[in-house]
Amino acid sequence: MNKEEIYGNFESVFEKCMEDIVCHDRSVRDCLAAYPDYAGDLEPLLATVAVSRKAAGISPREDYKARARYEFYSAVAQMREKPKTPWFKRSIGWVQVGISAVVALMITGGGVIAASGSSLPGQPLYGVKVFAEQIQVGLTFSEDARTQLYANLADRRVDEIITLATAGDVEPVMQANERLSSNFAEMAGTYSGFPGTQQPPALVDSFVDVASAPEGEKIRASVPESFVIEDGDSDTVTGLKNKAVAGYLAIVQNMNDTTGVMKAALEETLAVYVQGYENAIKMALE
Amino acid sequence: MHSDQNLVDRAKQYDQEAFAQLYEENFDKIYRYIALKIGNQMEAEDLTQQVFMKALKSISSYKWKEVPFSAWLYKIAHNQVVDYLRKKTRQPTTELNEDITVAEDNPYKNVELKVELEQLARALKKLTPLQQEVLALRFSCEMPIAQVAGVMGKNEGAIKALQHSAVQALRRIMVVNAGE
Repeated sequence: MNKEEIYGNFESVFEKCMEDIVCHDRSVRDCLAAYPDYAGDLEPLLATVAVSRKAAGISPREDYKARARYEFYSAVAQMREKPKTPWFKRSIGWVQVGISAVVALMITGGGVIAASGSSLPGQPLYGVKVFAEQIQVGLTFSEDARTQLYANLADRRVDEIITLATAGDVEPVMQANERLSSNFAEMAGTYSGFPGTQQPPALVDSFVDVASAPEGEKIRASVPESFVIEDGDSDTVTGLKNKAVAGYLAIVQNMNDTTGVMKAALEETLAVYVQGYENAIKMALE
Repeated sequence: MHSDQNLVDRAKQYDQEAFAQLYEENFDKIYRYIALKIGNQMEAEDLTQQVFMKALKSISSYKWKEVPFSAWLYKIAHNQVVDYLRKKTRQPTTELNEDITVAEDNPYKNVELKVELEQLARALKKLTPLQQEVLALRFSCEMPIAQVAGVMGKNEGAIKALQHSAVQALRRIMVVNAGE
């Protein structure tokens, strides 16, 4: 059966190509090559489809999505508890979002938050997890406590990245890298006048093969110098350095187990991680 | 489809996981659909959230039909967009220039088009309402034609013909706009 028999007429061929371009990321060139008899008529139409689809391929801002998601989930929780209460008819501002988040937490006993705890970037409840973290940060007022919290969140991001890398999901790893970078920028913002928030992460030139290195001094010597604990370091700085080393070794270990695009993604993770912790340690020392 | 129905049934009981899944599966698509229709990303965000809040409010009255749940969301989104555009009275309404015709030898095929969302939204407004709808659904939501047919309540053949004429018209408009 030839292609014309299969698709019958130009409209069907056009539809097939449109489907391929819009739904399956196929290129215009590939579609034209598949239907050379129709190529002349198809080309201008498919070019229009391709540029239109590209222009239409936008996404809402991540921070907006996270807030909107939490607002919605809070509304669901409210509806479950009080389905007849039309509270969402009120105009909703971001201040109310924060209040509703706390209210939802009290009503649900943190059910949504708890359920989101193990979620990963790209999964339904991940936005809830991130938003819950933002609330947690907002409710943490001392500089040391907030630094510790950010370090814990960085650990969490690294755990997520490693889980995703193990599953072979490159794109979520890249997204998680961005989140890690934001995390460190916010962490840096804990210190007034911190200069590193606008700086791009430095590239790490070379990496050690931790798997083949003996324990102890050799491994410690393989981490960035600024991560090594010195006499006289405060508890905050010591805690930061301990966390930095643990995360660094975990990333490097996983990086050595991967290749290709995933390795590149983890290299970026490491670059962001090292730069972020170096800045944080530097500021904590001042 | 069966799992979709199951999900909606659970959502009607305000099951959080079911709602979470429906929300995540559809949020970006509804957002793109709205953004494409109004040409404004920020306002599209607010309208999208309103769509889901309305859906939450009305879910108890939702009756399952043999169409995807998303068809219901698109209907709400469509109504939101209509209300929005109605309120925005200063919105210019330009009709398709009927003098534009297509020459037989595809004179536009070598024209390089660079199209942004706002330009695309403006161009779409010059199409007929049905042409606008079919392209907004296909471009913004990446839905297969069968699903578009379900959402629009037409058969696949009608959708094929409609989208063909819509893309032809869109091409003409874009080429003319690019030359202005």
